[in-house]
Amino acid sequence: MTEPLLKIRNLGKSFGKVKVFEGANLDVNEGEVVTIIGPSGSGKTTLLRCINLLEQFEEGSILLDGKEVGYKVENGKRKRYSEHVIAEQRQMTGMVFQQFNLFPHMTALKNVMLGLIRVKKLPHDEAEKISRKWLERVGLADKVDNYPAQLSGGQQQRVAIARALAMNPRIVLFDEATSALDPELVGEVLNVIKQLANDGITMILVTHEMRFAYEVSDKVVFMDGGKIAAIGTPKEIFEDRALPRLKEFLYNFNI
Amino acid sequence: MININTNISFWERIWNSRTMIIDGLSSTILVSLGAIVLGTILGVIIGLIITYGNKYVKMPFKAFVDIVRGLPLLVTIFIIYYYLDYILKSIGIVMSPMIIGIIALMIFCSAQVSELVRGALQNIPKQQIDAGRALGMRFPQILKDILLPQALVEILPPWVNSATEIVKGSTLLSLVSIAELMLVGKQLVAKHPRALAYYSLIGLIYFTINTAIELGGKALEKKISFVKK
Amino acid sequence: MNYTFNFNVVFRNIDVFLKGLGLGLYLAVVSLTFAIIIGLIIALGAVSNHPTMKKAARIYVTVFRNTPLLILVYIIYFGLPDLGLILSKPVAFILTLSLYGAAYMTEVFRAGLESIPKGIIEAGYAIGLSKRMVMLDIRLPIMFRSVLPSMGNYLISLFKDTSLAAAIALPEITYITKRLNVESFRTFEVWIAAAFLYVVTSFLMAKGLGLLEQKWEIK
Repeated sequence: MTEPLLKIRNLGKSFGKVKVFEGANLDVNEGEVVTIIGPSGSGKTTLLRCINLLEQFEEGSILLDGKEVGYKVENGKRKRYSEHVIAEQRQMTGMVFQQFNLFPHMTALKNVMLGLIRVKKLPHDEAEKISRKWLERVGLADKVDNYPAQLSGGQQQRVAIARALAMNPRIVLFDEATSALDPELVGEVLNVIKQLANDGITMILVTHEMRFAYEVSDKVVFMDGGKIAAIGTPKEIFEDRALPRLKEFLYNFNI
Repeated sequence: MININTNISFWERIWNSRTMIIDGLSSTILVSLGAIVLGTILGVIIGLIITYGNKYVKMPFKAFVDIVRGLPLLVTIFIIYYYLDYILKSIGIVMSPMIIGIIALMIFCSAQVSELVRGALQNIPKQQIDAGRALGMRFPQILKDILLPQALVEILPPWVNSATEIVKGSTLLSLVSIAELMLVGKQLVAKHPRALAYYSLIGLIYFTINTAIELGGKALEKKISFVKK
Repeated sequence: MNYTFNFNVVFRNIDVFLKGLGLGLYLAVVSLTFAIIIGLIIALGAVSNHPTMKKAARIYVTVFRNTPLLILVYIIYFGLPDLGLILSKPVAFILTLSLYGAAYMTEVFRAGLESIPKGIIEAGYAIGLSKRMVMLDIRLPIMFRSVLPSMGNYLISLFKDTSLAAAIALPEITYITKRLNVESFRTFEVWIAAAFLYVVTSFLMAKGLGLLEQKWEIK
């Protein structure tokens, strides 16, 4: 059995005195699709954002591909890596945000190319080729020269997915990727994510789309009140629902 | 370079001229205060006319505001000063230069304030007026109880800025020889050529006045917005 | 009151008036350029994480916004020679107006940078961009696009401020009008001409900026 790609050990984060979450343990293997579900305020988004170091965490550790990410222990003291190192570590992850967060002053193509040129230092032509390939893969070959303001929400999110994947990350993180979309646009984005899952991309999704989670996940994590309350297969979580809190939570989704 | 060797130091000279300086400072404060108060009252009236008046009534006032705002303050001061001077002389009235200075600054202030008032009032949704009417209120009452209180919160910060502009603008009165603090500075430098020292000191005084106005404005803002909530 | 208007003075001196207008525009444009450069540098300090730089930026802005422009002109033109630094009139005036304008531009840039949604900046970090790249490739380009109208309007404001150059005898509109007034005693006429030039120029500049804005909106 190979080592898990991502190992989260005893992770904890507080905002001042308020504990956002604590004692989080999770393994993600290469090619796995993991979804994190739970009520608002359970800490799931914050946990996700710790993985690509957009949030700081005070307890525990994250190992990505065997390397400790974000913090090191020097002389018995815990220190955050320098900005330079953190930027490098972020290349191992990709993130798709709830609000898309495309760069408004760049076309779809340029949005995807930026990281390849500036971070991966690829020559312009190669970056363009890769970007076009990914935009085609998410179904937007004809929109490459459009600005975000000219695209629908679903299209913007698909560009955001292409932008994250073009960087060839080891894991892609989806932070409620469809929550800000009009209902009729949710499907096109979920389809793209499903295809990527079938292609073997390792991903962690925080989502409220329960049916999607059931269909696509290898592992489901239920978070509640700042703790990981349950981890299991979709069948275990959605059908067996051992925990009362889990039952309560899922009841609200009419499943 | 001529070495001016005197026995009197810079600070001693300042102390000796303290009456002059205090006179200049009081003139500056007086002129600024007069211009701000009168200009604000006038500006509110003009702003109301431009926002709510009918097409023909507001035209001359709009023209007035557009012209004054298109002119540099210095030009406005020169025009008011020379024109009023000529007109009054030919009628036989003598007006103190300081009053003319106040009038010039007042006109500048009123144009700015009217724009602030217009902007703030136009931001209030028309439905508020309808709601007042539905309750049976007449327009002056609607204005007093509904519109102006809301507009006040929005107007306050830029109005504080206008006030500091008037204080800064009062220095331009020195260019038509109106006796205020800036002119005192020039006189001091003429007697004892330490331009950097004197002008920096005078500048510091103006800076203090304006900073005090700024801080006062911020404190007032806190009070008003707390009440409005 | 008996006064017959005679605009000959104005017509005979149209070239002087126009030269004055040209000088005023020149002073305004050059000062704005430097104000933008200086203002940008200070704004970067204002939004940085260094408490000293932030404080220094705030002090600069407060000093130059609360002190009258006229005094700043006098300090630089008449005062600096006391330290051995003698500047020509145009240089002294442009330096003053640039430092004064920089304080205003700092606030404009600071507000522009702070109004960018945090998510967009995070997206930049998420793809592995460094702090410097996020500033150069994302934050500054977005900020500049949003502050363009403010910069245009401030140019008009600076143009009006160039009238203060008259205080140190630079021959822009206000100074030459004053001189013509003394020479010809045609007070009403010359000042009407000056007012006309200022108001019409400001108006045309505003209209021109409006058209430019429209053009860029469509793109």
